[in-house]
Amino acid sequence: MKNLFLSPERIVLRSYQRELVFRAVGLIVVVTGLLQLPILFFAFTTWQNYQTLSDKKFQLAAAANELQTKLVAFKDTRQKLSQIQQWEPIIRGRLPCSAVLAAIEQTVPTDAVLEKIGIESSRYQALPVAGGTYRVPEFYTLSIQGSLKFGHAEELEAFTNELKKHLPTGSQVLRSKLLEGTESLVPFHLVYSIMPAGNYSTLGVQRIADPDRL
Amino acid sequence: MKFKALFLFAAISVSAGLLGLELKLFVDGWTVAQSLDQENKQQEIAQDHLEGEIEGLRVSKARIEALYTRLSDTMIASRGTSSLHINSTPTTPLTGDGSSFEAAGITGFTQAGLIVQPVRVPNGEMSIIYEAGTAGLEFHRLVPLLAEQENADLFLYFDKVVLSRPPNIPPFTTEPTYLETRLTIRMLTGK
Repeated sequence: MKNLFLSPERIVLRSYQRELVFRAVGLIVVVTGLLQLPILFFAFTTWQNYQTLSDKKFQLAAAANELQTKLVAFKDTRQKLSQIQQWEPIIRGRLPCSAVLAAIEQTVPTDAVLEKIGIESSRYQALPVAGGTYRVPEFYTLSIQGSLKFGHAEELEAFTNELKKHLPTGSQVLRSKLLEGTESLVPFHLVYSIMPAGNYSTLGVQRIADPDRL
Repeated sequence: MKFKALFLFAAISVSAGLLGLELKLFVDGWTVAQSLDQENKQQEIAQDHLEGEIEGLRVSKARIEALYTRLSDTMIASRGTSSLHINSTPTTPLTGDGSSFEAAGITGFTQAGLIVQPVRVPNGEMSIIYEAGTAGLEFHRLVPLLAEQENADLFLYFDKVVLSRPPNIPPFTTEPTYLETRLTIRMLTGK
């Protein structure tokens, strides 16, 4: 049947307005259009952020150049510090033998007499220095031979412990033994293992880097 | 019907394509901004570190230089022609392999009366090694001597220290006890 009241254009228009498919397409267009707003907003903020970060990058580059210029003035000091750092393990690994002997002197009981004191380094590590290497010991062995007056043999333990307190942290008693002796004297043998760890404050040694108090 | 389906499909495709493209551009831009931010943060950390280092160097300059001078003095003293006197004849200059070195540390020992003998240095080691001995020093004179030498040369190592009471000296004697002393002394040298 022919439709005499509506023009074909109108029918097409109605069809666009009312049919589900076209409504769905319209909805898609509207949603896509609406989504442009947050996308544009985030795109703008990202661009703004990028601009800020780019500006900051230039500022940081300028500041880095300035710092490099400042650093040039300290080049000599920096080299010296680097050399000190290279020497540091050598200095740290050195057991102050005089301080060990002084500690023995301070702790030895009045009823004891010493016959032999030996300090010997062992297990060397070769550290690089300008022009070659320098050996640094990883262990020291302290050996003490002496005698206690008869009747005072129990003082050995106190002496052993007292001396251990004065030795650097990590020192170990390897041997503390009374030997057979004469009627008046009881010989003893003491052996310690000392690890030179760099901290010799227990021996009363001042740090090298500390300012002189005199 | 076919047209409608095609129309719907085209609309969905165009919309999805547009949104996808926008999303990709947005993610790319965000990623670039993030990496730039990361770079800036790293640069900032590096600069803070450098700034701290410069400040540290500025504040500690005097101490660093004093310590360096103190440490390097020892090695500077190790160079040059020897005026080292060994054995019991102080006027006899040292001759031999070690004669090209003048060790400020060792003169203290010789002056204190120790007999000093140079020892072969292992290959590649930047050191001079001496064996020293005496039987003329008491404990109370020996300890300050060792302390003085250790303080004078911070690279001076006593690889071996052996102090023993002579067998002819009785224990608990009130007389001065001159210890038999044997030392192995090692010092770092410059190039």
